This record gives sequence, structure tokens and C-alpha cells, in this order.
Amino acid sequence: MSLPVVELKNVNKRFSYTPNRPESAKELAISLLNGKYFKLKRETKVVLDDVSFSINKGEVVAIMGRNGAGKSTMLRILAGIYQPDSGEVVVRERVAPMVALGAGFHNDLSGYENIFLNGSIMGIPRAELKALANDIIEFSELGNHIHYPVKNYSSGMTLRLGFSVAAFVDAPIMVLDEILTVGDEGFQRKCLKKISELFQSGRTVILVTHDPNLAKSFCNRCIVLESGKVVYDGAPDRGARMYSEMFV
Amino acid sequence: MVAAINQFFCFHRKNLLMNLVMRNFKIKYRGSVLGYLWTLVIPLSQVVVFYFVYQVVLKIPIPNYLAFIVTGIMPWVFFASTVNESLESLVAGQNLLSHVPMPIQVFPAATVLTNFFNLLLAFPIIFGVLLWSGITPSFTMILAVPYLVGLFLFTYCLSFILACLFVLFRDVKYIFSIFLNLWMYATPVLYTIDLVPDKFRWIFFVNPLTGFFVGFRDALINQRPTDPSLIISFVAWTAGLFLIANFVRSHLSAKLVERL
Repeated sequence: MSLPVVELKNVNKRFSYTPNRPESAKELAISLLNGKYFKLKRETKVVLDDVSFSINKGEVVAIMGRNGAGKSTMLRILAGIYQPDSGEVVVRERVAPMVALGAGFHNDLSGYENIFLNGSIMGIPRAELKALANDIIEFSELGNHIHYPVKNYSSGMTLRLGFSVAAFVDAPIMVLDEILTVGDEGFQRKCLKKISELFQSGRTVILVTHDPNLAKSFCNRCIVLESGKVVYDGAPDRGARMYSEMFV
Repeated sequence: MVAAINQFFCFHRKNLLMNLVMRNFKIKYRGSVLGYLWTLVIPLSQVVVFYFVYQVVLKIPIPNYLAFIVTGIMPWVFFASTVNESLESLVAGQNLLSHVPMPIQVFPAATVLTNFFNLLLAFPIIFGVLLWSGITPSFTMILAVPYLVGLFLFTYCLSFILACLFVLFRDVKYIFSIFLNLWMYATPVLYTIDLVPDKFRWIFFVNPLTGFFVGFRDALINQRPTDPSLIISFVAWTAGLFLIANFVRSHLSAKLVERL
């Protein structure tokens, strides 16, 4: 039995926020003068509350929970974007984030140029990208449009290109944040097929989803978060049911 | 230390850095007819204005004033426009920084590199003016290279620190634009220090960039050694900024990403 690829031990994360905090020197001066500054209270919101779990190699884990339950924050902690306030995070293999489709796209660049830009943002080596470029273009079904600037794309086309680049990222641990299907029905099916291939490829997959059927049919484990706490960790059908019952 | 330098200059994400630089080059003048030439036209138009005001009208007693002003304006425009463009780079990259793990310094680094390449591309013009002014090329001119490296480092460190500050206080942008204007006139860009009354000279010795401009011109125009105290001041400021910037990178990057 090898070590788990991802381990979270008693991870806590709080965000503090000061309502009405002055954001410019003028506001600061005013609030200092009228004394409001000294009455400002810092509010802290507990986003992750003593979260512990470990994920073994090859597991496909669904993370479910209401909006604001802390799912995205947890993924960011896994990806190393945020640091936990306390607790321990061990990630033993490379994590590829498949999030924020097309976030790195630049409107004035062509789709083709954006593949290379976005790919480098995701950390794919240039040589590898060159080899993948044709597959990415073919998958996106953009055809000749690939050489047009992205600003001339419809929003669906931009998402398709974003998904296509993300779908060809390869890492032992894949993290997906609600990006499973985009585009029209035909392309959505294609996305699902690509993702199910990914699930069956033996990679470790951690995905945030709001689709109970997806969790049941593809995942072998489900973690349900509620107000920053892990309230369920186990078989996906029970987890998905629990998630659905939250909204009754 | 080596690892810190590697990370500070994004050597570990070379591919990403180069792609961002290429993006900057591609989009900067896309859709404009003169394209890249604008990078030269803008500082050159300032050269014409300052030459007219200081040489033709005010008859400032500096020999080779055209060469003097070209070697001043070109690096200054690089410095000023780079810091201005980098300031908002972290906030502009927010969408990426909060989703994809990447070094935050890569955004200012890409801006500084892009503009530095532009500065290097302006060198044929600078040399043209030097030759036209009757300055004979010599090996002393090679000394301009370490000065340019120093200016690059100084600009990068300052850009990164200010970009981080801008995340916390949006005022930085306005304060710095005022300060930058004052800074230009408190730096020997348009005149030499010996024209400055004694009681104000201290400003120029405190100013980190004095060493650059005096030394850069001593290498290219006057071809003589530079006052070591000015060089030491420039190097010390750059080293100090590097230490601060590197501390911010290694200790505060994660906190800044959360504040974006």
C-alpha cells in the first residue's frame, strides 16, 4: 500500500474581511478624522473548519456542497494557491488545475496563439504543446476560426477552446472545478466522453460538481462539505443523496 | 540563494515568461499602422521638445546636448513606462493568479522584459545620434552594458514592489505618477549635476538613478570614469530593493493572492 497522493490534516482556513475598510488615502483620512476607523471591526469567516481526508492514487473523488461551502477554497489549497492557516497539506504528485476555462485568453490574439499562451500558463512544456496543438484544434472543432482573434468568437466558441486546452493537460492529479461540459449538446457529449476517459485512465481526479448523477456514475468516492466542514466522506450514491437532501 | 534568484527571475517558468513577453509584443501595437515604430516615436518626440526648450531656447551649457538628451530620455522612458505598466499587472492578472498556481512576479517580469527589449531595439538610434554628434566609438562604451543590467534590475524590483502595494492600496498609482514626475526632474536626465546649486546637490546623491544616468553617459559620451560614490549608491539601492522584493515574493506572495 503506497502513501496517499493527497493528505489534508486538520486544515483550517479563515478569511478576514473588514467591512467599510478605507481603500484609498482619502477615505482613510476621512475615517481617521471622524473616528470611524477605530470602530471598524474585522470580521472573520471560517471557510474550512478542521478538514481532514486523504486521497489514494487512482481515486475519482467528487466534492459536493452548497455554494460557499468552501469547495473552491479547498481546491485552491490543494493546488498550492492558498496556504492553510493551520493544519497540514501534503500533495505527493503534480497537480494540474483544470479551472477557469479561457481565463488566460487574450482577446487580440488568435485562438492558435492563445493555445500556446494558455498552455504555458498551465505549465505544459512548449515542445509538448506543439505536439498537442493539432489535437487541441481538432477537439475544439473550431476549424479555420482558430486563426481568428478570440474577440471574434462567440462565448460558446471561447469556452470550447478553453475546454480543449484544459482537456489535454496531463498530470497525475487532475483538479476540476465545475467545468465538465460546455458548448452545444454535441460538444457537451464530447466533453463528457473526454472526461470519462480521464476518469478511467488511472489518474487521480478531484472534481467539484453539482450533478448527483455524475458523482454516482463516474466517481468512486464523494466528499460533502457544509459550512467548511466535511459532513460526509464515502460512497458516492449516499453522498449525492445527502447533497440533494440539503435543498429540501 | 541560487534557488531564490531562480524563482525571483522566473527561470523555473521560462516558458510562461517568454509566452507572456511574446503576448505583450504581439498585442501592444496590433491594429496600428506604424506598429513597433511607436516605441521609438514617442521618446523621440520628447527628445525634440526637450532639445528645443533646453538647447535652442534656454541655451543650456552642455556640449553634445542632442547625444546627452537621447541617452537620458530613452532609459528614462523605459523606466517610467515600465513601472507604470507593471503597477496594475497583478490586479489585471487576478483571474489567473487566483485559479492557477503561478509565480506572481511573472507579470511584472514580463512587462519589464518586453520594455527592456524595446529599449535595446532603440540602441541603433542612440548610436546613430552619438556618431552624428562626432563621438568616436571606443571600448569604454561596453561599460554601458553593466549600467543597463543595473537599470533592468532596479526597474524590475521597484515594479514588483509597487505592483504588490497596488493590490493593497489603489492610491499607489496616483501617488506614484506624481512622484515619477518629480523624480524625473530630480534626476540628471535633462541637465548635469554641476549645474545644480550646491544646497540641492544632496538630492542627487540620495537619488538611486543619478548613478545610472551619470555613469551611462560617462561610458557612452564622455568616455571617462564615473564618481564611485554615485555607482555605490545605485548598486546599494538596487541591492536593497532586490532584498525587499525577494522577501515580498517569498513571504507575502500567498497572502497577496488571497487579497486579489
